[in-house]
Amino acid sequence: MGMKSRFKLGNFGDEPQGEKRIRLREALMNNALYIFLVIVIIAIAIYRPRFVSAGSIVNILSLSAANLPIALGIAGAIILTGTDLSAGRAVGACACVAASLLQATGYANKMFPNLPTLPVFSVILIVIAIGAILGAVNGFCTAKFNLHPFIVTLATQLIIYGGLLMYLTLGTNNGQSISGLDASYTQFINGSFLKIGSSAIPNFVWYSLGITVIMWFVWNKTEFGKNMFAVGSNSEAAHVSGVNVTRTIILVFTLAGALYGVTGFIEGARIGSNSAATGLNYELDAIAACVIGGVSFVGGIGKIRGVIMGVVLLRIIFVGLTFLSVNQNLQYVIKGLIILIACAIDMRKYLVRK
Amino acid sequence: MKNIYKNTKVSVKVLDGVIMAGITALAVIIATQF
Repeated sequence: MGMKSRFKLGNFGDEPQGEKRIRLREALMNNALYIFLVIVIIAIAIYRPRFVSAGSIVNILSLSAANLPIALGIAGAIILTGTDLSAGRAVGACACVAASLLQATGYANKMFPNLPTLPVFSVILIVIAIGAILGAVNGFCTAKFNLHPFIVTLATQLIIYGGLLMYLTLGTNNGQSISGLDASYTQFINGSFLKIGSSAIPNFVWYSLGITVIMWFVWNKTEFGKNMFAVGSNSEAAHVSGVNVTRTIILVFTLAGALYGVTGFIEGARIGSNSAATGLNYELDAIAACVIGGVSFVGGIGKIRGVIMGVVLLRIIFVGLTFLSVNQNLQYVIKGLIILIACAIDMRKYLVRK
Repeated sequence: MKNIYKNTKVSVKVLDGVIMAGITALAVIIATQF
């Protein structure tokens, strides 16, 4: 019996080992980008020890937190097999509106000189509403006219940009950057109550964390979240199962828009001087972070932790490249290559599953 | 909205090659910056 079982084990031993090798190869290929990025991060940390100093870590944390809400918004659109090219412009528009409404009263170049400084919370609500309306328009056009969000958001980003340029000429501004923000606003965003070493963690990191928790709840614990994944996986099957596909698409884009509003509000104070260029190309970084984090263009696949990982990894790499004094132009090439590799890995996963 | 990879004709082997080539290119670019 013992011999028999040993023989059996020996006989079939090759197959599991072969399978194991295939599984290992699959795991290596599917995680090739993560492995590579982690190696690069370790190498940078060894060559430039200041890269892992408290100041640098807080910097990475802050930059990641500023980009997290927009990435969470775009991730919803990608889960629906769509995308959102208007995100960066929506962030820029919301940042400029927030900044214009929260300029200090005595500031010489105040955009609306007669406007008193509004309460911070009312401006948050205003920019979230603006973002949500912009998102709802994207969602409505996508769902009702059955258009791909790529073309819808390409159109809306131009409309938003044009509207923003016109907005910047209002009052006494004449198209200049909006700065001279009220202390209540900058303190609310950039103030701090916790330090790592001598580096203060800005308040917006905690807001971003709070939004992430809310989004995790929305994605995983609500009917809307489940409908979003169902529509992303197979919209016809979702429709047959009784899911209101049109409503779900509009809501996903509206929620994304509201998150762009939050990002705009954070960026307004973080940057301090807001122009029409604020938010430019933010959507590309966010889409890249989502793809790196495993939010699939196949639809219906994606996790909040993946989005967080994508945002943080991308940010660490770019802060690291800055530490290496890599030319800004070359950084674009590197970013493009990372996105291409992430897409190839995403497509590979889909083909293997098929 | 349709899955954008649905009509893809590429094989897994070709994609493996693309991934490895991309990572090699990235590694070379970044290594020259140290």
